[in-house]
Amino acid sequence: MFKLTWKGLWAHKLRFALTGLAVVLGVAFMAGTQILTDTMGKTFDGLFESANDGVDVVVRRAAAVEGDFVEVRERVDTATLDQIRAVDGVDAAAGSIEGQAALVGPDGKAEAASGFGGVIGANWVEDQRLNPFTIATGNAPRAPTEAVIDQTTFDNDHHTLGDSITVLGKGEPRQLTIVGTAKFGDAGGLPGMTLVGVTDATAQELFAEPGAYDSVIVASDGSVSADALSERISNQLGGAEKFEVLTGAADTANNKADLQEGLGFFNTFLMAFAYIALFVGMFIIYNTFSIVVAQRARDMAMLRAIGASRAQVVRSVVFESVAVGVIASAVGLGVGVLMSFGLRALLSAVGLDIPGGPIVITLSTVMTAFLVGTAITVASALWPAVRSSRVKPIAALRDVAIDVSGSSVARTGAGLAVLGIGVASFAAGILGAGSALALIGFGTVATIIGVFVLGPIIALPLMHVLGAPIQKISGTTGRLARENAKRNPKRTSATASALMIGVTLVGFITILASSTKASVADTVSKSLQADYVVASGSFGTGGLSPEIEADLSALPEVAAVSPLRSSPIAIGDGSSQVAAVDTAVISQLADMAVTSGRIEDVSGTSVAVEAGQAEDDELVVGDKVTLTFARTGPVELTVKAIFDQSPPGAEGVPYVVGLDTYEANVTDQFDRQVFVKAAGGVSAAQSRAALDQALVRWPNGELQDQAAFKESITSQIDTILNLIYGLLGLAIVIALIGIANTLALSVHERRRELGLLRAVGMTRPQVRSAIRWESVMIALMGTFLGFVLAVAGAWGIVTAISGDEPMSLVVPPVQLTVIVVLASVAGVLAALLPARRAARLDILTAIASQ
Amino acid sequence: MTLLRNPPVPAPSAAGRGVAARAVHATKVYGKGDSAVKALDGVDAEFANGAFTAIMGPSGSGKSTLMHCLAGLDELTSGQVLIGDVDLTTLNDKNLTLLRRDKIGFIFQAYNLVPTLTALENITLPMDLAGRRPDQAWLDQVVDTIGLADRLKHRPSELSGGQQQRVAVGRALAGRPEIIFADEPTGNLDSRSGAEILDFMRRAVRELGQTIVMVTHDPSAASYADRVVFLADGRIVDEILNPTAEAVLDRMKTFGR
Repeated sequence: MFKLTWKGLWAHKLRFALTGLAVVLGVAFMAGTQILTDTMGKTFDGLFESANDGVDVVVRRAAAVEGDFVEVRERVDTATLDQIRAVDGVDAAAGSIEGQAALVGPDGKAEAASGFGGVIGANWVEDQRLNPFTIATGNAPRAPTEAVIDQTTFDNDHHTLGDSITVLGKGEPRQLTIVGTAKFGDAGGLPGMTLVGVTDATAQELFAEPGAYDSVIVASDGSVSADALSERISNQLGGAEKFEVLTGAADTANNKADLQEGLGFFNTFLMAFAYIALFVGMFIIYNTFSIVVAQRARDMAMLRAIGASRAQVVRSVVFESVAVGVIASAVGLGVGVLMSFGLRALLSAVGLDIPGGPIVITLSTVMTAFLVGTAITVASALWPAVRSSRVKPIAALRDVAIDVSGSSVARTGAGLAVLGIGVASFAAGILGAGSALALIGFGTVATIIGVFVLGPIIALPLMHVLGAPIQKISGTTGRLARENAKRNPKRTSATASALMIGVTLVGFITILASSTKASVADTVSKSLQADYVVASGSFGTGGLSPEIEADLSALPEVAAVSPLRSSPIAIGDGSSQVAAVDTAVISQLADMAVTSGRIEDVSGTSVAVEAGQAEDDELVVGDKVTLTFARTGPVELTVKAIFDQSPPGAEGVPYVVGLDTYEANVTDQFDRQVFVKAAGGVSAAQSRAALDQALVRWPNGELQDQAAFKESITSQIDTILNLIYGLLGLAIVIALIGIANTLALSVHERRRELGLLRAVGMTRPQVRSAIRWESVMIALMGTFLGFVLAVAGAWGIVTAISGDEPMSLVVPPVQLTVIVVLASVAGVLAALLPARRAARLDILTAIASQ
Repeated sequence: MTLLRNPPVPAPSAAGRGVAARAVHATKVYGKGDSAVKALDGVDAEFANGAFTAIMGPSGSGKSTLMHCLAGLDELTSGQVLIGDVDLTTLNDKNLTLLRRDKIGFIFQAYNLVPTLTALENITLPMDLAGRRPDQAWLDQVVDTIGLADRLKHRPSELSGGQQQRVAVGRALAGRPEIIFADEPTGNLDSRSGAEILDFMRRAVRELGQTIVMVTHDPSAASYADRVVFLADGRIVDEILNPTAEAVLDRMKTFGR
């Protein structure tokens, strides 16, 4: 039977190549993702190791609060540094500062940070054991206005020594002179990051706080082990309560673990799309094997007639699928290497630059590629294989009938049952019964399979309806296309299902994004009372210097100003966020929809709580709540106001305090944004001119009116949307390959009929047109089903969300029209080669029946 | 026996009827060099308007090749084929297709019908492809002739083999082509259905003035024709006018294979 398998594969190499392509692309996506994350991991691991090479002990303050994306930690003061220096066994100790910074470009605006690192503002540590950077040219910074930058940035920006750069940290931008360049080992710098190294004093002013360092790094004199030395230092500093003392190796391990966690998230995100692509691929494989097996039913029957057992027939088909799976996985792995570059390019296109490094292909990547690729192929081919063995030997003697089955009570029942389970699970997920993600994920897959099972039943009426206008437009060719699409409902619907998945997901996120944007715009319109928002472009750390508030308040064109600051806090065992505004004037700038108490009363030891949070925690005005800050630890605050609507830009932040409270409990004061209300009687042009003038001093302040503010929020959603479109693109390409594959097989199957049509006068363009229309109909069926699922899914989620906050379903007509048009164009593209083949068929071969 | 016993003679063109199709030194060679096979070896033949001609010959005699070339389904290596005044060897694929659609009718041995279309749609297919409205009176007459008025909405799979072949005859007649080519039209049928089809074809010639050229290896089928042309080794070797099955059979036996 092995020989038979190979012969079968070889005889149909083109169709198996097409089938394999579906596996190749899915495996490539998967392998590409793994290669990319492994490569990134390896690159960063290497960096962490070199960075801590020579560091024996790292000392930090224990006081810290872990946010979703950032950690806020108190700093080590100079006295502590001196104490550490005095510990026996310490050869050298240095304070280390690594803060967020920005470079101001020639246009006077802060350059947008791209990539993982952005600009790191650091103090230049003189001791080479404690500084992974070395001076490449010039010298280290010694005066407060001197700086070194990494060689790569120096070269890219065409600087020369003595050039002046403008660096933005805390407070006003600072002019510094480049006195040297630094390299990292042999490299010109850290991948994706810019280093600005300055003296300790300057670094403290710009990137930390006077008299303090982020951490202290220690080199031992060799008389004691790193472990012993760290214990000695810890004891000297009063134990683990106040200071976290780690060996350099442990710190590196921590860094690596943190990175792994971050990469894990990233990996999972990309993997989800790889699995979608593979899932779509399964439909293609299933369909191809079904068609091929059906076309070979006579051969199978002949084998059975001459004595092959059913198991042998099954095995021969399974062997074929194993061979296809293994070969496709191998090719997929190769393509995956290219794909890892493609993914990197895609991420960089949406503003997420990833540092490069030598490609890392692990054994696990290879194993996963082969296992998953082969398993998926075999699993998809299993049912067609079993079905092929059911062919009766007598069928060898008969003509193989066209399969027009598809509707049966069993199919309807099974389909509805699976669909029902899917919908129920999806609903349970969005209603929050159990693990939402798992339920929604399972529900989605089950729903798609349910629709897939019901597909052949839906296909006939759907094709009838979809084909009607096509027949109107295109007469006989349209009629033939419509009938061809209807003649094998199982095949048509399986092919359409593959596209349906992609369209469902694209439609779903498009609708969800539109609904979210509409909801955000609506909320902002309702709540934003300020005429302008000065945005900082910062989400996590950093932002505008609070000094900006005074500049803006001083303008006669301005009536009211409030900053918005925010910081992670701990509450109970979890983490949350606190925002701070000028509570005295915030009601002029943002409608917080206060339901009880007064926002103006919130200051000192009081707090305002968002209504949903208050309800969950059963808080009313007058109750106490304890928030834990990195700087001050647990702080008990009295609830003085309950509000429905967080200030714009602080959506989802449940606690709001006054600026005095925030300043008392949070070390680094940054304004994420500043709300500005223009004075009465001042024209928009006047106020804008005055504000623009005031903002010249603040390169990272971007003046936005209400429309621009809304736009900046919705454009963030668009960025994510585009990324997801890009990642879903592959699933759609695979679906199109599926359409092309099915059509090619159908053309092969119908070659006699096509020959007849050509003989009685169908022109080549007419043949091509008929195939194209058929393809367009399949594509439209997939699109239609996808839309139905997308709208239903989005409706479910939006309904569930709007229980908490009002949100209405927005089905964007333009985007969805674009999707339909693109699907039709895609159908035409998919039909290109099959149509060409059909038109080129040699009439005589096709009709030779003797 | 020699091929020269009955030297080829030009087909008699009935006075005033004209020629529907003609082959002039038609030569078709398959393959190249030593393996080249001459399927047609300089065939000269005329097929008169309004006549029912059968082409006979043993397997490999070139009869199907001749028909395919006459019908614009295959190309000659050298020589000419004319349908009416049109030289097919000068036409490109598009014009050949249009010529087949508008001027030629086909009846094949099997796979005659498009399975997704109804009987009526199959009958009007060439006209539909041309975007022409069928002549309703004529269509009614054709449908009446083939006797399938009550089965027009049926798909081919719902018709018997004989009925399917009658639909094929209907399609060939419906467009009033200049000439109909039939390739073993009864090859897949039982003798009764076969006789029925042949009867239709003969009536189409006698009553409707249609021109038909039929390839067959069945002497009794050939006996329905007005004239039988015999082909052997790619040449026309003989012909019989107003044949009977016995006469054709006797002639066939002389090929002695």
